[in-house]
Amino acid sequence: MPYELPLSSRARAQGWKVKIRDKERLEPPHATVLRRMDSWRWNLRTRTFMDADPHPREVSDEVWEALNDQYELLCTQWDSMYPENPVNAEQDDD
Amino acid sequence: MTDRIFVLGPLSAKPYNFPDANWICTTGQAEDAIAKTDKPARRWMLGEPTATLFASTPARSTSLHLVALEPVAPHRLPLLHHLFKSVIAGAELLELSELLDVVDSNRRRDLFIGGVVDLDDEVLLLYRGDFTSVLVPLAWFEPRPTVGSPDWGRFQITDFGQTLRMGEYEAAADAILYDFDPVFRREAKKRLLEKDDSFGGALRRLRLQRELRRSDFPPLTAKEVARIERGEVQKPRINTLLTLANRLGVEPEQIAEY
Repeated sequence: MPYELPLSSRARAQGWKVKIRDKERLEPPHATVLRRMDSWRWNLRTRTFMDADPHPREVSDEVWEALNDQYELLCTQWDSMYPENPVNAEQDDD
Repeated sequence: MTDRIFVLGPLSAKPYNFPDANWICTTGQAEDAIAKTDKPARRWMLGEPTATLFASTPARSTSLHLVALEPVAPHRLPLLHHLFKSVIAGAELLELSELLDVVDSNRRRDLFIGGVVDLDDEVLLLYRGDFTSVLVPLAWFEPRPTVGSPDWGRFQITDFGQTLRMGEYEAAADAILYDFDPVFRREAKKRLLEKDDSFGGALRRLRLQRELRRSDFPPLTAKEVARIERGEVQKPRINTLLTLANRLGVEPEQIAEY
């Protein structure tokens, strides 16, 4: 099942969600911030947003803090869902 | 401005809580609405999908799309297909308020508004917010370690068209489009903040998307695949490209698109 990061009631009321779904684009490992029709992929290896559009500055500070505060948990969740592409994999593994 | 939409629903019940819409309930209103398709009003909610409502409509519309909220009798479908540029009927739809936001959005092409599961042919037909469609084999949604297989009897679209839900299993819309729409793939790569446009980078992304290891490309060795991914092989041989492409399920020239 998908993992959804718990957010404050205020952030949820504003429509923010952070998810790792069961079928994602795999490379690189990431969590997806969703709000209405927009989404932002957050790279779990570099802890940075991956896409320029929509601009990462549109993500609320509260959600961004939740991503960083719960970083280890997000990594654990990703690794359990995608064991073939773990967060801490070396680039040249196999 | 978005294309205009006719949404068919049972007028008597008006179960759809969407205030920003005009309801059509007579033939005259339908004629009037169709005649004004070049005017600013954008959408209408249409009552029961009766043939009489459309009977006096002279010709097929070149711009109107139709979404049926309720089942449409099979014998009415030819008429609807004649009258509208596209018809979405019998589909599991995104919640109506979200659907109308999506089709008004400038991101509508990247979001799904409905889908039909065909278990006989084992495919999922997905409708995008611009009313185009994408066909996805059910096998693409492989079982996952934490959830198992999708439950196709519980198919839904949620998150403003960004997520497909099949029971406990969720799939990202962008993952589907990245695999099945080369235009989306090109646009997605343009949006990346940190770009790796190399052939090796594309090969690595596609290999991981297919959940393959470097050792899965015989007769190529894992080391050979690693050298290509690292960019140490400037120009892979054609036989090498064919081996990679065959295993990845794409044409050789498509690898670099990923």
